[in-house]
Amino acid sequence: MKTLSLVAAAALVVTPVLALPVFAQKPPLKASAHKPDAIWRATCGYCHGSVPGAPELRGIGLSEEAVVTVARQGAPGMPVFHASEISDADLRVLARWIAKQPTPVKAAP
Amino acid sequence: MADILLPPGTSPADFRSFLKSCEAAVGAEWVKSAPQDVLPYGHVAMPFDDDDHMPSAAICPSSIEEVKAVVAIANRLRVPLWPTSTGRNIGYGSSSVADRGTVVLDLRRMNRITDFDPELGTVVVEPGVTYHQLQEFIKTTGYDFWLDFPGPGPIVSPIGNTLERGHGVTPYGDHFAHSCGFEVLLSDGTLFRTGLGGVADTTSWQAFRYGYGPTLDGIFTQSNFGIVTKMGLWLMPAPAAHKTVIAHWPDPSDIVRLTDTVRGLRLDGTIQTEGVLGNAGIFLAATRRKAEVYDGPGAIPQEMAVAELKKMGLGAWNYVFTLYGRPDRVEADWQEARARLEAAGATLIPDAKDEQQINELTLKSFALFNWIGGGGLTWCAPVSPMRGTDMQRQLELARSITDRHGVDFMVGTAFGERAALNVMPLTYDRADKAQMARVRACYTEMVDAMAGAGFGMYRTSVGFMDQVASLHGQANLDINRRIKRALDPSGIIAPGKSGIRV
Repeated sequence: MKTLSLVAAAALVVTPVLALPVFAQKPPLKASAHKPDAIWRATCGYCHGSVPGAPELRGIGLSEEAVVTVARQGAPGMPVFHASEISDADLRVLARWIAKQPTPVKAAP
Repeated sequence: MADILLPPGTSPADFRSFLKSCEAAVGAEWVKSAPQDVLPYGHVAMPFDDDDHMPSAAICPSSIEEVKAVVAIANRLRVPLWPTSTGRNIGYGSSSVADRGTVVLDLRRMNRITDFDPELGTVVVEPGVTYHQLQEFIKTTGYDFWLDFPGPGPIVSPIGNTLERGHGVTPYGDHFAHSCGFEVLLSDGTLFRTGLGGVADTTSWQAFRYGYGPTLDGIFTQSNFGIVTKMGLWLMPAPAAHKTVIAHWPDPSDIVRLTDTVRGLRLDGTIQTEGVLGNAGIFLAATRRKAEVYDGPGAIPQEMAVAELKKMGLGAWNYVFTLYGRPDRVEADWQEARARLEAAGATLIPDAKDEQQINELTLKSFALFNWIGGGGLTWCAPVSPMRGTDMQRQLELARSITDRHGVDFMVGTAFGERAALNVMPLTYDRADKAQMARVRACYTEMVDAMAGAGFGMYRTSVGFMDQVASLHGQANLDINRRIKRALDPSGIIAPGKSGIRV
């Protein structure tokens, strides 16, 4: 039986990430306090690639700047991730990690 | 600063002074006043323009000392503050403010778990702690406790949801009822603890919530009388066994007999948890896009939604609940629930799964917003007594209003023993201003119509707080104002929250 979790909540319908401007110059990488895969599991991974309307971000050539911009500014249905939650350094490391990930192999249903 | 949004009643000079003083208190990095930093705090899903409820700045303290310093500055300069935990009250206003220009007090950096008692199953958390963080912490202790969380659980906080009196779907689903002990900062700098937290070297702050004398915790929920900076929380011992069931009924009119049957099962404790009752509309929206199933104008016809659900092996009403306890108890409860639900016309699916009911964090409920797209949402949440005839009356009234405004009728109900919270997501595309206007008009009419029929609201969004508050009578408004004037005479904490101002 397909799982249906319906009581409360919100949306994550990420749309225009690929259309955002890409900066030519990458900012320097500052010290990051958290590992990007842990940040992914604690935040993005709950939705992206596993919830309808929230596309897989890994392995699609997403630019670092697109990740940073959407995380900080939000998108229709997607919550904002402020600096009070994810530091600039952590976000930058996460964005580079996402950009380098291969396309995840989905388990057979 | 002519073009800069100012806090209400604050001069440009005082605002500059406020920001500069806050920089000294929390560090310049954590005073957000540049548009690119502030505008995201005003993003909303509710049917208002972001600008309608936009803050003028955000201050991000990391400790109680820093919060006290900011509150002192705000009090001195009469700058209103809007405290948020993670700011993800999505559909209820997120981190936007009731009165435009109010400064967000972003407590996300206060994310410490300050106490854990494995014998009593309690923790104390700060506002920025998320359910994900708390669950990861519990894993590291080696103890087996479950959490009850709302739909966006991984990325929201126990304090935020509890202070909004949010609900989840396990036996600990009434979050305020499972909190125990607040630490509260008042606008004059007084820091105090509710319950037994004031006793020197207290042993029982998280064990006994009432304390001595008046029990004050409740006045700090859905209110603006103080800033809750810590909260005790009870943890649910992991059950030895559990069984999730879907009971579904074929016809919308079955709401009467199903409600009356579930009430009996809830009152005698056979079903210990609220679970969730979803109509065809909300189940359909959780799995499909509207454009795939309906291309006509306005709301999807109810009979079409029900027909689609039948193709999925579900019904007009679908009640997802879990039985918890020792294996023999779960089996006995299952046999009892099955007999009574089937006698009431239900078809049962006995081995379902709902992550939220078994301590698995998920954001699958976010799929709801894939139904239309565009990120628009507000929750209309009238309360009904657990009587079938009242449920039918309320829900038919609600559907007549959503149909008239061309808004899809969806409802996810939390079944208490005596009250049902009929939480209705009104979804729309924020890029379509006409849709947004329809949803806003629908909500406004719904609130008034429900009040006219004797039904109140469980909770509402920032944009509708004054309207909902006004329906509770002048005496209620006055008593809240008197408390506000006593505890926050300058009115600097969250003006307009739940319609309360000095």
